[in-house]
Amino acid sequence: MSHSFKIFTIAASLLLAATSFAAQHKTKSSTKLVPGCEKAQFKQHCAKTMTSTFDKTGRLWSVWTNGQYLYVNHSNDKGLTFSKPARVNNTAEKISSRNEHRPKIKVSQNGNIYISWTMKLDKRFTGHIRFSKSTDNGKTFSLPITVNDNLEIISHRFDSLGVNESGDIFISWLDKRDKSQAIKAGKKYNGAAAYYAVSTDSGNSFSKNKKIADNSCECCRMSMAFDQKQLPVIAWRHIYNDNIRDHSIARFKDSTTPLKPIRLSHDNWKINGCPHHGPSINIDENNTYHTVWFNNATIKHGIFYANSNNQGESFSKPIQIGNYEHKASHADVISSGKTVYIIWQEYLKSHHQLYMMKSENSGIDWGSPKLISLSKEKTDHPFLVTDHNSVYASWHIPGKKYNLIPLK
Amino acid sequence: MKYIFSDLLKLSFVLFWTISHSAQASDIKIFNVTDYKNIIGQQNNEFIMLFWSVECSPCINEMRSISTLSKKQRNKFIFISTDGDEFMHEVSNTLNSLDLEKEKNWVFSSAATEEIINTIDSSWYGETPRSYYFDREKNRTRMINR
Repeated sequence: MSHSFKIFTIAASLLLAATSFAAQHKTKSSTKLVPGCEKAQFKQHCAKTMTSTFDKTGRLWSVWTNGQYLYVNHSNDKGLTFSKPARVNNTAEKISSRNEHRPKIKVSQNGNIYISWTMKLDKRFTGHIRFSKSTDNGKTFSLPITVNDNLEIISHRFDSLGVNESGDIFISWLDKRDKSQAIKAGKKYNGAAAYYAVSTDSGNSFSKNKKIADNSCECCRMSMAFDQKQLPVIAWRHIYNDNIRDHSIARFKDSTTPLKPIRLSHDNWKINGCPHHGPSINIDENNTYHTVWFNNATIKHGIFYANSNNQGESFSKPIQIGNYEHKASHADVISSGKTVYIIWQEYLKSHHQLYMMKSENSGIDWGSPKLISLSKEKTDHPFLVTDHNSVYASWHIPGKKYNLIPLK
Repeated sequence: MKYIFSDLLKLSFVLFWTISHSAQASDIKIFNVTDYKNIIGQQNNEFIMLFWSVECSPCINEMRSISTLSKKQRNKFIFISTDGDEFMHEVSNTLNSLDLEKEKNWVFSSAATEEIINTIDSSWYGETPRSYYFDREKNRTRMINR
């Protein structure tokens, strides 16, 4: 064999070995998608999250993502069939849509459809709060606008959306502009801050952003409800003292004046990390606040429920919900008259289970937990929705038909 | 002719290094229910198992501070992303940006996330970061939760 041929053989072998090595490792690292959705097809049931709400006529509206686009469609038969989806954003953008991050949808009394979401930016943990609306019954959507008036490439994420009976639109979110300022000044700042903006012109514009509180936890959803004055009450996970991650609520004096936050939970979960587990709040017709949250402190752990009959000045002694050993998590609460419903997930014997519990007297006494659905496949978080006649659990299971379960 | 083959050989070495190196960068193994015990069984010395998520800013801070140490203390750290293999791309990018791509890296199987968490620690709900220290006898002696 000539010397040249030997060199050629070595070179070829090296190339072959490298290619084969790369191919082998590529196989190991291949990404799995939802079963039946491997080709990232344009299908509603393939979306990772689906968020729904009823309008006042009883029509169900849903928002979900496919790639870098948001879609909205509706159902006239309680989620059995859905209309052809309308695209919200005509220019592609990265949309946060996973677990505690999800696009939100609300319908005002006059039928306007409002959507908020977090647009991911290129830098890790950064985003902008986005908003779009439809005034033609979901046929078309307005050009999305950015709600946060601080446009640094920092975190403005975990939006929460609400519209009151007057049509005022409130959006709250977790914001790191104060942390950014602190870092520039060489100071420390733990967590993020809770901010909000309000629109009083049906979403054509939003107010200057206002801070609700410093030092919120930075990776858990917020929750919003409206009191009897149609002012928002916002709940979120807060950081107290040395990384105690308990919950807070903020009420408003008027739409431009948030009041000093009140501590909701006292479980003392100390963690310098991300629980990925935010609270939920609902206010009934008697102005009673109903709240659920999760903590994993050494002594107090699991899902808890408490209510307040004095607008958050004090709360009832928390009661534990669900089975901690079965991973009771991601609870939601809603009221209908004096009836209060709580749903949550558990995990047992390779199945995700959906439970509900009901109180007929505004959260004073509670019935036994009832298993209402289960899934072997990974599920989206469950949420409660009402058409003002009945209450439903909305439980999306990616790859499966939409699950809207009437609660009795 | 000799020079052409010599250049080809050099080029091959460069290509081999580049391709194999980039392949290594994405060598993140899928962590299934049985892997917890398997990994512990394979260790011969004390080590730390660190669970993290691409959505967890404190995790990134912690991993950044560990990055240099892990290069000096080879095989002392095992990094396991809880995101699920559906987020492999994000996990891989994050590891690359933290210069941790050559460490022992795993990502939870998306289909078995809850089962895995249950197997590891029944009191764990998936909050991150979460680290466990194992001694030479493979005993999990403490949970490090800063």
